[in-house]
Amino acid sequence: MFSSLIGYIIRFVLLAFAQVMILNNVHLHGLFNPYIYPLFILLLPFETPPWLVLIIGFLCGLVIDLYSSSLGLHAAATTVVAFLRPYMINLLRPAAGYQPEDKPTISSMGFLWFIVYASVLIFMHHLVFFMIETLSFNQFLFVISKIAVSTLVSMAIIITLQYLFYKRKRTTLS
Amino acid sequence: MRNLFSFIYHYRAFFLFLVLEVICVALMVKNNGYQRAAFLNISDEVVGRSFAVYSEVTGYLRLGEHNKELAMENAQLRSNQATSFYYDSASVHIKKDTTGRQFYSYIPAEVLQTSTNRINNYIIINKGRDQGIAPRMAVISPTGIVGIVKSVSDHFSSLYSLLHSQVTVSARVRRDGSRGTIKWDGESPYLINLEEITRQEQLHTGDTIFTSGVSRIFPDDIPIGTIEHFSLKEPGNFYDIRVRLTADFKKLDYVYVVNNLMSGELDSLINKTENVQ
Repeated sequence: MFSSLIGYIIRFVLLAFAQVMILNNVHLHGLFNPYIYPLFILLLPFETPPWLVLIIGFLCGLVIDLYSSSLGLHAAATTVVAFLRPYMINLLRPAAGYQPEDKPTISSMGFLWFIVYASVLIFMHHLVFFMIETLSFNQFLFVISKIAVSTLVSMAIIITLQYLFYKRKRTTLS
Repeated sequence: MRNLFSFIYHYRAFFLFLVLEVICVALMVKNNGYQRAAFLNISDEVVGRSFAVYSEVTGYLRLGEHNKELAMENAQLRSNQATSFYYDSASVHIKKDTTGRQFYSYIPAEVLQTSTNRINNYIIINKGRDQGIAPRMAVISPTGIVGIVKSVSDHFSSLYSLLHSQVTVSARVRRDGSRGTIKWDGESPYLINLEEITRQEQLHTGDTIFTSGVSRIFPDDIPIGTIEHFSLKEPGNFYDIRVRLTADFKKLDYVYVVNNLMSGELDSLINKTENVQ
């Protein structure tokens, strides 16, 4: 339990670092900004109680906010993701139910399960984030295309990350 | 009452969600205000320090470019020196220190973090209250204007970038002096809109845009950009002008904070005039 807690903290630090220092500087003429740090919320164990996911989601967004001087913006989006996560997990429940050793990753639940799970939640995150950000703006089409393109790019990065880290870890450990 | 409690308990996740979202909105609203809450100054300090380490590393990668920029600025300053003018008139008037009182002083600072991809962009620099920086001071770079100081902690400041939906700066077309306002539309970090120029003015693409000096924040004659293209807004009396910024907001590293030494005097004068009216 303790070692997995440390593991989660390290994962969060790495994801936050990648987000703030690298991805926040990636943008092609303002067309897209990928946000991959919500992956941390997606990867929390299945048995995490919903209220804890909410608190973790809120804090996680707040940390990113502090580093991108947008207090409250990321937190609002990640709280929505944290709120919807239990419903998504329920919706995608396999016929046999979740096994105790299952984790919400590609290696454990399979490619199709993960891509549906992650793309819906990441899309919701981007939707809330860009909508709130442009609240007083009337460039609706621009925002919609930004949400769509950003979601695609974020998903591509997230899936790459899954194959980079989790596949290998799984095969060497088991 | 029991029913109420069991109802709340049953939907506790939803209520927690509502509470957290309300906190988020409160934070956003508060953060948009001019002065940030005191605890944020502490977090500015922590965040600033971690960005300082990061920018120390990345700063080395662009040393060549900075040297070139500095050399060019030095050359420009040198050419403005009294000794580099040739006077062919018999009587030479050179301003002495006793006649020219210093109006602006410049505080150099290093950019720790900057964003260009959001609707409201901010910049963090490594100088703060201890170095004499205060909110509402202007910030410029060797290539053009950068932003306005938003809040300061002891050693760091956060700035409203020029790429911020709420920042407007009074600007002037250098060729004929017609005045307008520049404002960012949130799309490209290289382009900005120039508004309020009436159709009577004659414009050309490539005209240079400078600060007008009408605002009490920015000094006169700091470059902003050049006109990329313009068209008449139909129906209307104004031009639709896109200006290519001279400063590259993605590569900002060194900036100057402009301290208007007479701003207190000016402010009190303007307050007095407004009170009389």
